[in-house]
Amino acid sequence: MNLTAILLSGVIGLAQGTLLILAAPGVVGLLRTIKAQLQLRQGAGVLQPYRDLFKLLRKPAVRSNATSWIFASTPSVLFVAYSLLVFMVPVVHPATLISGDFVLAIYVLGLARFSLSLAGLDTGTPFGGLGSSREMFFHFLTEIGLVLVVVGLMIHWNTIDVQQVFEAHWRLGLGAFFTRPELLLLTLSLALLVLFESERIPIDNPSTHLELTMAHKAILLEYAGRDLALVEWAEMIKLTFLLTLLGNLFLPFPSLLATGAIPVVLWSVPAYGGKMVLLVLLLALWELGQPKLRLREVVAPGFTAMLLSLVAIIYTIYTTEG
Amino acid sequence: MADIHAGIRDVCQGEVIELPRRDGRERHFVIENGEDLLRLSQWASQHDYYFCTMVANDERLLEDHIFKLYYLFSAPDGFLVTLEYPLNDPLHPTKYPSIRPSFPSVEPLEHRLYDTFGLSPHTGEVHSGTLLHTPYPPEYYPLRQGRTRDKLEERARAYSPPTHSASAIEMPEGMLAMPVGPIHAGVIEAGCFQFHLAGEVIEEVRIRLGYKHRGIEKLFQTSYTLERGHELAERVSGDASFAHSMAFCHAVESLAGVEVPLAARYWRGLLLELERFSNHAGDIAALVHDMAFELLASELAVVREQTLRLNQRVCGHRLLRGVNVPGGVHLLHRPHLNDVQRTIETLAARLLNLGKSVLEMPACRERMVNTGVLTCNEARTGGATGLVARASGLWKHDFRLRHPCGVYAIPALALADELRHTVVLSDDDLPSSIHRRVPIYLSDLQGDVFARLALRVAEAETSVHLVARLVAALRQKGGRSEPLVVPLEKLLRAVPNFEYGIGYAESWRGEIIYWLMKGPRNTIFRCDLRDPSLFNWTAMRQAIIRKPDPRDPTGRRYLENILADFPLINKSFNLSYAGHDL
Repeated sequence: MNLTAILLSGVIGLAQGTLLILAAPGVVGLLRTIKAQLQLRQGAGVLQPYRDLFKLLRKPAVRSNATSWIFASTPSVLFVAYSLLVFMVPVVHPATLISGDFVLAIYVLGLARFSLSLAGLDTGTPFGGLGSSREMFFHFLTEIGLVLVVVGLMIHWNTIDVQQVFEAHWRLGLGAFFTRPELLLLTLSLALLVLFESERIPIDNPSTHLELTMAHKAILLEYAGRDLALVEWAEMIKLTFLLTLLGNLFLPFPSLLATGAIPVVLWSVPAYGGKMVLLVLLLALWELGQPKLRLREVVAPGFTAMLLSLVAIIYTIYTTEG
Repeated sequence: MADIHAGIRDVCQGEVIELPRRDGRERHFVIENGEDLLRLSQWASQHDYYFCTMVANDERLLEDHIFKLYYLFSAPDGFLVTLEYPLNDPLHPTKYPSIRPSFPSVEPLEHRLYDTFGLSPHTGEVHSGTLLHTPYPPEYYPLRQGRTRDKLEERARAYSPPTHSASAIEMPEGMLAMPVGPIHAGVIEAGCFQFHLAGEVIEEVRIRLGYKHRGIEKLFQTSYTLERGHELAERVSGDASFAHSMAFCHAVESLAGVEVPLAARYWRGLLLELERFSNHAGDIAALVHDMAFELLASELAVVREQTLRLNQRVCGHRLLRGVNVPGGVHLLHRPHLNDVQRTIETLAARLLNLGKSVLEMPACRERMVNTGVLTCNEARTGGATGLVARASGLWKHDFRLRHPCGVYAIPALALADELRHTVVLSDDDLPSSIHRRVPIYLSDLQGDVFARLALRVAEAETSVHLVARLVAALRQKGGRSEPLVVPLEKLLRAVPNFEYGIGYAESWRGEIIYWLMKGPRNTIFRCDLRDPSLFNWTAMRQAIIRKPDPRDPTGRRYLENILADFPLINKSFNLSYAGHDL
């Protein structure tokens, strides 16, 4: 690969990652609007998260005297960690700025959660500690689940490099994809884990302000102004990243492998948009259609996700050996 | 058997004087001997009497020159029994015997009397500050006679409370004390909950209220008359405006000895049931919202809103204020009965469909069943009341059945029949005239969140049936323009001063009781009111804390709740802070 090709792919990777970060509040805005409309409410509009972020970014961050640098640095850690992930996945073009493997992605997510939980403890408020404990409880379920998904992919493709797995899926195409049950099982597993990782119903309620039931929001209670903006933006980026991962990895359509050809990119942009709208719609319907689980019962979907991956792994081993 | 006379004959040794009451369903006894009072209350608790309230009255300026206590009991045979106990011990003019051993529910009232009157029991601890917090001067005793509003305000202003230093809460190893409130993240009233947690499990919860104390009782006595008191009564606890004003009016009417016109009784019954319906709809919506089941929650919220708009169309106020007046009801215009009938039926169909799906959905049941269990025994001994008590299996505890008055006492309408079948005892038991779209069985009422939700749905359905009957009855009366109000002023003037009247109404939370003593020139010498929330707050604590499961014979299983379920339990009770704090 010559220098210009490397530069070009770097520029493309940078561009699509940046665009995704900028689009993230829109994705959340779309989700909220769809949910509102389905509840016969008007909703604040797709652009409201942008307005909120803009408002918060202009406000100074108020920090308690009792907090240390951990509390102060967590918003940046979250933002950087999730942005990093966005630069790892192909969006509308196979080129990415950062190449890495899925294990890295899992532990970048883990790092963000770790930092967030420390921040919750750092404030010394009862809610922070409570939220941190719940957050870690969820994390133990997601981490194992995600590792199992990655193991499933690894056994199937003999690689855990993000880009290579993506390419393999695109080469397969949508039609052939559905003939492989192990990949479908992994899709379901990851879909469940996306709900866990993004703290959505039935695991946690993203819109609640009932301090006693929330896990994630309980930690964020002490953040204000710029800090809060950064944290919220980071959350939005995470959701967008997870949906992109799900959409591009498990709905491998259209194939982006005609590398760098402009017409393919033109065609893949609306396709990507369509996939995101579809996923957001599904998420909205899913969230509206059922109540939140009791805190202790979230183990059930967590184990379901693990089980699905395990079945996929066993199936792959069985079919390849036989 | 449960006749109070038998009890007095059996257990009382001193002299007991029975005083006549104008209302044949009331009885009044003066008990001078403290031991007799204790024995009689023990007898009463064994004979299924329900302790309603304890009213203190400063009669030091009246003929007896002492404080007096009036204990109000609801007897199972339908009588309201008042036991008057004068605090006639010259050595201890502010001490009284405590009936706490036989009726533990009296405890919050005893704390309250200590704050407002400075009266305390011989045995049993009372602490100040449950109602009047530290910013009030010590020995404030605002309800004693002679402490005028001006004087009280002046004292409160002059007093600078000691600076409060927070002390660490000592907890056992591994446990966490978690204070929540008094200001909460939602649009709810002020109350402080201190949870003692072991992990997520709530071991204990201390509920501190009183933040919304407004001096309602004093306000009644200083700024309102018997004719105008209803205006304040309907502002005591906003969501039960109508029931509060109805109870107040009932007290005034019983004092004056009048029965309101028939049409007015119909209207009162109808509007009380409308209030019940709208609040139950709102509560079901809120509970579903707390389970984050937004789709149903928003649909249910629409039902509540439509009911409030119906209220607005009927009487010009969404919360039904300004309708009740002592002597009857005051309607701006004759409401369209067709509108009421049609609207309530459409709304009921929607509410019942939605309620049914919530009750049947496994994911919802999973969260509600066995959460926040208040056992039947705890409900009985703790004095739980209203819907909460009924959901724990005491399904007959309803003042509309126990002490029917107003429209519920008209046999021709047979409203009691409907009420009695709110809970289905068994399928064969259901008469053909009564149709339940969402039947709730007695076995459903296990005192958990599910039971309370189920009962709300069932009661909403009953309310709709009652409204239908009342609309039919009103229609039958036709356009005859019977006056809806009887003038009371003259009648009230004829009532001797320092006579008291009892008024009650079964609100959607439980019975509200007003105890009014007339002063000179139709003023209110003493107004005591008891909101059902007063007793149910204690019941809620009981439902939350960790305790042995009474259904388990080995005694090793525990009933416990996790902190994340507290909002659900709290919402299933949905108690009034304002009604408690007064």
